[in-house]
Amino acid sequence: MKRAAYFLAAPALCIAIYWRAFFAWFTNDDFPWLALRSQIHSLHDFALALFSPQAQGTVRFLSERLYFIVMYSLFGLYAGPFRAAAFLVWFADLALASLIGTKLTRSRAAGLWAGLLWTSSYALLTPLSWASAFNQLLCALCLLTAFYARIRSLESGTGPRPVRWSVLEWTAYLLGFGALELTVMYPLIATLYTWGVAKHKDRSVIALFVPAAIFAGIHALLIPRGESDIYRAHVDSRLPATFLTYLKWTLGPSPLEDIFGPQWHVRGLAATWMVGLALAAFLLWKLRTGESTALFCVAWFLVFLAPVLPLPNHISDYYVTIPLAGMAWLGGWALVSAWRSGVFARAVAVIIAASFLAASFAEVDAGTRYFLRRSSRLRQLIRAVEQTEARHPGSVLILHGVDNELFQAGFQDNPFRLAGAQRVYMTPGTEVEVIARQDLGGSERFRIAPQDAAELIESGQARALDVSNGVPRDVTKSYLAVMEAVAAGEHRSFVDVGLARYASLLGPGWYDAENGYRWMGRASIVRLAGPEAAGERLYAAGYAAPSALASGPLPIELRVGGALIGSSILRKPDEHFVLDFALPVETVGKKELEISVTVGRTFRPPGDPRDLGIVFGTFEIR
Amino acid sequence: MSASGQTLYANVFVIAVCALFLLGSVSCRRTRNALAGDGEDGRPLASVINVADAATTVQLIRGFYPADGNPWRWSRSTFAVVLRPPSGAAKDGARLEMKFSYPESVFHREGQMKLSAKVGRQELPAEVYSMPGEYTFTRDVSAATLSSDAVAIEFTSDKKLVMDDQRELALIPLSIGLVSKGLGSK
Repeated sequence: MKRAAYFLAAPALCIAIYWRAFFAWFTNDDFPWLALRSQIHSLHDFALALFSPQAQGTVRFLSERLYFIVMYSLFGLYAGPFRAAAFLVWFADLALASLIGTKLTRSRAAGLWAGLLWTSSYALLTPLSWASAFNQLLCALCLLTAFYARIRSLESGTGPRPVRWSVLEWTAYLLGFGALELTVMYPLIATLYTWGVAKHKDRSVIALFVPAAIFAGIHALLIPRGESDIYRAHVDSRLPATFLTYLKWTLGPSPLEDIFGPQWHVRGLAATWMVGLALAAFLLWKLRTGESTALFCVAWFLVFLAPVLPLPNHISDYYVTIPLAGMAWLGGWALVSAWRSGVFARAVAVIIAASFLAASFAEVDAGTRYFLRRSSRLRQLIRAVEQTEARHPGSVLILHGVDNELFQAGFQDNPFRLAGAQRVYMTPGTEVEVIARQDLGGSERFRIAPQDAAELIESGQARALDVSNGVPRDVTKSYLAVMEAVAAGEHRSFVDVGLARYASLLGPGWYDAENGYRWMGRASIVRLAGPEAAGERLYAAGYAAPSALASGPLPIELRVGGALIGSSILRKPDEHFVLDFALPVETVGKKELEISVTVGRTFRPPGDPRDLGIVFGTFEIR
Repeated sequence: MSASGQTLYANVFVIAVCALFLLGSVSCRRTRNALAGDGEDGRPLASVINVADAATTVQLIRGFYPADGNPWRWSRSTFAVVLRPPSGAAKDGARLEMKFSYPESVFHREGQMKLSAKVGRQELPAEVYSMPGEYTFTRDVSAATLSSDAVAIEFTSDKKLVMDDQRELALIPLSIGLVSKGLGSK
């Protein structure tokens, strides 16, 4: 019974605090992975789906490719089995962590506490709630299995290592490369343990570096890097700050203020400091008594954290999932040691552990509520899209009432294709209200002009869904009246780029409005209705800011639908200008003209990260 | 490990797997009707809407934040609705009324606020509010502007707060309506 409790306590605690995660649906990156299955029509496609570098140049053929392909083939858009798989793998991780903790500390209680502390962390929120972070759980399973096998194999003393443990270690280690790139750090951990903790002269550990070197070489030399700066490595002065952020997330509830407000800042930080100082004191005490195992726990944390430290633009709480195991072993060990060291130490340990656990539970509770709410809204929408497509096959969908939370739950990852919808738009104007990632294409693809929306609905080609309030509603008929009214009220022959009300007529390339004007970068887009009669001209008014002309005259070109309609050179700084160009006769009566403006160069003012081209005020066709 | 111990762990593992997949199947059960109501919601547009009323959200075109269960919503500095002109408006015109709150938080930071409106293509005179509080913005709208079945109305405030999460908060509109002239708000 004690043995069962040893293995079941941590999973039971996990279910108790993370139960909402079990009901979370898919979001964001999940959708491209779920769509992978539909791209497989042959063995060659299958091989490509498994092994071609994707996302930020990764080839996680087990934890992402095979996982999503198999699970989607079996269960479709049902998220429950994905969650079940994640929880099961995590339970196995916890069991291994407890076993390893027991071996490292020679205390079953410490091993048990290590599992409890690891699963209490807020860092597990994303891996347990989001299918795309399954790689963390699976990689942990591979690394812990390999490491446990190494510990067991070294228990045989100085003699030959039992083959079965070596086979298990190598199998788990090699599979780890299919789960997460972090596996390249395993040989270092295995070596540190073998030579530093177990004091074993096993030289075969060096062989573990060979696959890691090959894997790292392939990644460095053969896999192209994405253009996005988010995943680009920067080894610079930001490294210490990145490390401190991860350390804070690992040690305690420092992010409390993000959830409960600024009044929790001090309490969260105080609890984090308490945990940090207690662990540091325990570490020093153990080092003084010659226990190198304590240092190994810290090394585990540092070694597995090191690869993500040069990513200052992608600091994510789930990156500490695997490093955290080292601190959990140290924490469990410290707790049990304190418990056995008298009343005072016991009281301090109880206070610190209780602070950590209470705050973590609160964080996890808020976090799982957020994940569940956000993903449930998207699930409701996608189910409604499925149903609408079933009733009206091939319809264009126009979504009304999309807010930022819903949009960011995965619109840019195109979940709609999985529900059979090929063309999905948002109510005109929404695209400038949501915050979209430009590296994922921005929000422009969801933009539709009111007139176009009205025409599509009137011709029976589009349906409108109101997603503002819980369960979506088909509001097509009402929406047609709304879009007709909006289209009738539009001043499409005139845009004042300095006014927020015209923002929906601006395409990419513009910065925020300032004092009634707006800077553009190297190129920008404005949309206006075509002229009502031949002979009408385009007037573009702006201001030749001295800073823009500091390097000399500035060439400027305007195009309509890609065709050049005029060019000019701004020569006089600090003057307002009006460009006046004739419009091609074929633009007459067009519902929309895409007018692109390009300047010959940009400049960057001191202390301003923007690349500025020129300032505009209005565009008008008359 | 003893044989009985192994059997125990095997049983626990099998039970855990079954329980998790059972839970999974419950969590992912398909919603029978993913759309509210039996089919298309074709209710006519309203002339007066309570901004937080879920039944008329289709008339909130842009610039509104979710109500999140509150009887009110925040708006951005520019927000728009579509309203049905009241009967007789095409002949006599109508009165635009917006009840709103100019929040203390915005006033404290930004000071007095100028509110302007546009009905269809008709610009209405702006009004300046120099104190926080609840107000009714009232303007006459010409008959020519209200000749169609529905009309788009856009409001613009010249003041707003930009929050850390990039939300732009300006006003709290409570109700917006087109009422026949002579029928004042109560």
